[in-house]
Amino acid sequence: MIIDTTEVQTIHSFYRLESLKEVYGFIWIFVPILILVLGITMGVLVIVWLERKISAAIQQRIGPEYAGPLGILQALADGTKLLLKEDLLPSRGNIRLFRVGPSIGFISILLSYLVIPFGYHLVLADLSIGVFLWIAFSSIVPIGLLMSGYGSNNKYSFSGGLRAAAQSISYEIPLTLCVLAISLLDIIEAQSKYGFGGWNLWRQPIGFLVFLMSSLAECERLPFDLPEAEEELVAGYQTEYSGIKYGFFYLASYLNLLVSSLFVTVLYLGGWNFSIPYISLTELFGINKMFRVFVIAISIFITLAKAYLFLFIPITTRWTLPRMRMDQLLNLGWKFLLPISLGNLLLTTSFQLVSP
Amino acid sequence: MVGCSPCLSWLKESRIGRVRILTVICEYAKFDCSRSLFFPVCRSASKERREQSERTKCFVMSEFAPILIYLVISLLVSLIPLGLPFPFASNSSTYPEKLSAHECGSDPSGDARSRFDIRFYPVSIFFIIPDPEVTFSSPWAVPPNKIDPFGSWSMMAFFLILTIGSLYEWKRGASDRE
Repeated sequence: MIIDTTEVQTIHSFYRLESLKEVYGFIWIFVPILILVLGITMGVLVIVWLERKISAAIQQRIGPEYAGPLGILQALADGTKLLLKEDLLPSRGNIRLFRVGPSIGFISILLSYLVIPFGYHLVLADLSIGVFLWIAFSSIVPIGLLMSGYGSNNKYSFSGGLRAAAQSISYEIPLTLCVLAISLLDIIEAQSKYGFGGWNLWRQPIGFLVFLMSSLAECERLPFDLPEAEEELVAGYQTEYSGIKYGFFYLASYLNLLVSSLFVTVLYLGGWNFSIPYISLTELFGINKMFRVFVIAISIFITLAKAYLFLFIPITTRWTLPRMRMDQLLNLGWKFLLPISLGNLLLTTSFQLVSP
Repeated sequence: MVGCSPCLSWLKESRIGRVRILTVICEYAKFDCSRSLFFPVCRSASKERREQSERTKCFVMSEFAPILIYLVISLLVSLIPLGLPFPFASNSSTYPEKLSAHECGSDPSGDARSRFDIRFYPVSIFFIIPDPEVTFSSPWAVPPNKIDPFGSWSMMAFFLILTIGSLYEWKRGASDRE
């Protein structure tokens, strides 16, 4: 059998085209990831500004006002200042653990942004496990905090690290049970009907409250901020840190807050749906399915708007509620939230059994 | 990406003989691809042969590829700022008192790694009871509307056993912090 050389060449060129397409696909993966990283960086800056402004309003101050219009560049100025600060290493501490600790917490929180859906099929990694990846990654965070608390060789830091580990271990279980109860239902699709009346918030009120409290505890926000209590523990595991490593703790706590509020939005507040009954966005703007970019932009905007509106709750609790005691915190976790969330899960299962 | 070319060659071999197995794998790959953001092309492939090769590609570039890339990028995001202050952060004026452990102004007394409260230790032990509970019930809860009554009741039995364990622990006062 004789094969034409031209035929062989055609086959070769096709083969080259195939590999070119692979390279293109490989590059195409980077684009959404970089957009996401940029977006969450901007998001954190906005949260820092929001927290400063809201706390100022609660305490009847003005808040940041010199850096940029309305002080909106204040967080950027703070970050630059932290970058220029001296990087102190404690003389008797374990330097390796001290260095690695903040990065571990930061990376694991950054990784949990992978599974947040910002729109219909608009997820970086559309895994079948979804939310549970977030829970798995968020249980790595206390390891980093424990490492930095132990590595500092400071009494305050050590007990701060211990407290952080105990707290996030205790509150992880109710959080996961709430997510399990929610994932028995269809998460987003079921919420798209009936506007805000169809939110999971109304179907799972107990689950929502437990999720809210446990995510506040996971973020170490104020009613539960025992690991980094400024007054008693001198900022806990952060005592010995300075410069950009301290900035990492700061950044990680705000990233954690943002990811929790995004998950509250997706799980309980209807995600990217417009959520006002009788008004359909596609009819409102007269768009059809052709303008996919527009639809994507709108769904991202709605998700972010809901998440940032929800953020007012954690920020106001931080500036209005007093701190709990350690034994109260652990009792609340183990003796109140755990049985309640388990009961909520069983209730959801039995409803699921009764009504197929 | 590296594993793609042997896969393609295997595809060429099997076009005649092992079509059956291939279609099964392709179905699985299609299941993956239809939910993937990065390959909208895969859904609208028309010709079967092209479809096959693209599906195989999707199979190789599985859903975990973005996770790995994102892991590398987040490592960079955390390591670059750590290295950034070296050129301009002041490091010359360090004196030994600055590096000692902070104890609100007084000289540090003793080492921090001494004994600590035992009550932190039971917390991590109690975590072992609900942790398998949660871990084993997540595959039960995730697939929507696929639980038959048998599955639900067997999960109930599992919950019951673990609840007895945690109730025992509670009644013995092991979780008291006083």
